[in-house]
Amino acid sequence: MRTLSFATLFVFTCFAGHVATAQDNHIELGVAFQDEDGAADQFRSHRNLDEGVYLANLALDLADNTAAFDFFEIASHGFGAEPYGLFDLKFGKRGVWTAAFRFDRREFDYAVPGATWPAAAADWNITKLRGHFEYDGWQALRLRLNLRETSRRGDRGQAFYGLGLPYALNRDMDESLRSYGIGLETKTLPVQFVLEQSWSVYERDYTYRPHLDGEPLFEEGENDLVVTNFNGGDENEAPAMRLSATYASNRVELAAVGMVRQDRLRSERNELTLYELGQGNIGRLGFGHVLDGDADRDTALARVRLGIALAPRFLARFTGHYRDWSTDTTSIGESLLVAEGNQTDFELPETVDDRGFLDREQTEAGIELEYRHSGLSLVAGFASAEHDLNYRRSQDDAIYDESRETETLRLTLAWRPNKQLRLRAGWSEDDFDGFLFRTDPQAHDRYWGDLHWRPAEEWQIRVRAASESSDREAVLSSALDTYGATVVYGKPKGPQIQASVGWVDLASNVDIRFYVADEQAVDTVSFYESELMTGSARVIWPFGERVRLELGAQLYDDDGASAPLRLTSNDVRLGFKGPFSLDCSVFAQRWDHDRQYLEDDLDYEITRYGFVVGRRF
Amino acid sequence: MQRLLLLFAYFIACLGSAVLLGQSELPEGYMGSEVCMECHDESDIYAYEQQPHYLEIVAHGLEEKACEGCHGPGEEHVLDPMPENILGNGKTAAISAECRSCHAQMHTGLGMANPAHTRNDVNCLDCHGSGHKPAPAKPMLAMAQPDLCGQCHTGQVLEFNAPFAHRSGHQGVQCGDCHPSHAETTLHTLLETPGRSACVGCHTDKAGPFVFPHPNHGLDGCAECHAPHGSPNPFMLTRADVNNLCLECHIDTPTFHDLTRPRYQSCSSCHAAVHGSQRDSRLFEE
Repeated sequence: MRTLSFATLFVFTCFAGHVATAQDNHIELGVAFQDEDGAADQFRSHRNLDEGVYLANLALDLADNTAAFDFFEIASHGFGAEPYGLFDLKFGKRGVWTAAFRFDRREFDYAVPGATWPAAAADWNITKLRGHFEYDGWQALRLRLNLRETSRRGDRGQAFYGLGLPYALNRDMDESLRSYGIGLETKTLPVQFVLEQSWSVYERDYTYRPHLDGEPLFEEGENDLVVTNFNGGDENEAPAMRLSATYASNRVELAAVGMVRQDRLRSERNELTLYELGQGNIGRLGFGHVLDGDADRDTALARVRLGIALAPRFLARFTGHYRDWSTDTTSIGESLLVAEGNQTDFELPETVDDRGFLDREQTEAGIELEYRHSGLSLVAGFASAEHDLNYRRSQDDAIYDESRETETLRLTLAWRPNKQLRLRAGWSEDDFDGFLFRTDPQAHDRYWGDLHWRPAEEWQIRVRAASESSDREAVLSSALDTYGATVVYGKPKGPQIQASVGWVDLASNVDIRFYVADEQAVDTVSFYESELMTGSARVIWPFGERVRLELGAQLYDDDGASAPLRLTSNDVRLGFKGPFSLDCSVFAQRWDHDRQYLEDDLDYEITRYGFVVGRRF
Repeated sequence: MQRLLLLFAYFIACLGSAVLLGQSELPEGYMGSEVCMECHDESDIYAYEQQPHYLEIVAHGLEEKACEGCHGPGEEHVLDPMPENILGNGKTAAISAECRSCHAQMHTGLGMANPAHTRNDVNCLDCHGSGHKPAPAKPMLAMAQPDLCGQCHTGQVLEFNAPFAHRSGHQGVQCGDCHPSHAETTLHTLLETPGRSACVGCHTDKAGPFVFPHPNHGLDGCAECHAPHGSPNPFMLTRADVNNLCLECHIDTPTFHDLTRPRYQSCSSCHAAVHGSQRDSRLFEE
């Protein structure tokens, strides 16, 4: 696909010169070099940048000389030395039809530098293709066609425990989603309707292979893993229909959307893992599963928003949400205990016939009143919600049936006495009754404030603060405070400077309970703390019309007890507009990564530098 | 004879009425464009007549109001041709009111009741050209975006220069692509919360509704995680590393999420449907 993209790029570049009547196109190629100091694999796990050539920018705006279409736009960047690549294509005839395609690909490469367990590494890519066609030539209706394809392919390591020891497996992933849709939108009715029908197919196939020749991790053992058959997959077909209606006038706004969807999942699982006992001298012992599973889920979803101008300065808004999904599951097949000896082979099957269900229903309704006058705005809101959950994993299990109710109060004040100053503040409180999960909070509060001030034409200052807390007696308590400031100086065409600083203080305690052997309960606390300070600065400094300097710096410093770390990143770019419509720039970027809760050999300092050349035509 | 006289009088009355009505097409105080052309420099008039704004006026049969439609009634100016007696330079607020005589609300909705630009005394001519000369950008803007918007919204325009940004200017995202400057009501402004409506017009696959949305009724919508104008971080995130962003809300991760391992330092590599999923509450797949 990468080759195809570059080939397409080359063809259209030549094509552009032939048919382009608009002289407003741009192509830039970049070359990057990289100095790596420290755990380069850790850097690739975070950003996956490498040396080499990459497409910095491609922007083509072609005007066709025929009557077929009157705009043809291509935009692309990435690929090559960058892990992310994007290709956009749009063309059509304005007011009649448009077509758009987008392709993007992202590559992941995870390693565990310094680890003795290479099986923890992972390497995959996610590829997305989007297509959209719209016909607008009818008077009363607009037609839309959509297609979407997402795939994830690669492999990753995974731990596997058998016979009391950890083993390593390599999992090959092959997952894809294909979705097609058609929609009709009304254009002339007082109420605008949009009806969409889509079909989606999800497919997953996986295969496991033993890693390290089946030897146990971390210690030598006498039982090697022999995986003779370990694969499976599932397919999920999901038709869905969506209807939305909107209406707007000077006094009333109404928006409603509803969706119904059916998911039909079919899965297969074939596993047989064998261990060579005594390195094969004793025999083989294994466990297997041969299962066919189904999961049928029906979903209904609705959302409505209604706004009414009750009086010239008095607005009311009503909102409602409804979601209901119910799933019936079956898992049928057998589990096997397999023993192969020198003299005797036997299998001990056990029939598996599990039938379960999972039902969830959520409803929410809210009202909001707003009063506006002379730069002052006051908003008060109330919302009530209920969430019901009940499920059973198999017919032998008890039914879990719980509900959770929420009430939310909200108040927001905004004041703008003049064009230079704006103040906003707000408060919200959530109270919960009932718990679906043990760590659900019982109460949640949030306060926030924001000031935006322009003391002079070239200056902007923004100050913000927020505080929120969640708690549930004897189970959970957490507090999050954030505050910061941003200062901006500059005007278009001149020097521009922006600096910001912020703090995030987060602390949470969650009581958790482990059950060890003999169902003995062990109570402990999961604690997470972050004391984060972030700072950033950016400067744009033009020198005349042809030279431009950009500088940027970013600091991320966490002194919390859980995962203290310090990251800095800096970048500089010097750009020139040259003769013959040539542009060039030189750049440098640096990342310093110091995870203070890990060994120093997992830190890195990476400097990436290079140049970009381009041409306008 | 009497009848003939009555008929003749009736005919004269009709004829006179037609003449009088024809003369009274323009409102009181308005003189007509031809009167303006008697004094004003032909080169100015000629330049104006070449611009799309004038051509549209003519196409709508309003040629007589081509001048006074913007500059207001000219009778006083004709009697005493001083700049103070006509709407001209320095009277942008008054001229803007004249603009609305033709350009009534383009899209209705509650946002139009008191849009932000109006509340802050931003007038038509603060952004749009007068139509007397070619406009640098469509639709008849005094300056191309984002420089035009950056005269007030300097910080936001500056963010477009960050390493990861919506590509602004040519072949990129213009301010008006996301922000309806007249507070027009669109399908997405009605269906989505304010924090999402600006984004999902292009990012349609993020529009939902999702069976499992994320963030669930988030306060700021897309801006909960992304810096919409530009960011020093990939994917325009507000934090340098994905997991640092996610952990500010999701502090209760499962115990097997070993945060010392790189795979668990990039949440979205497994939880790929981070914008919402139709089938997976864990957001593994879309």
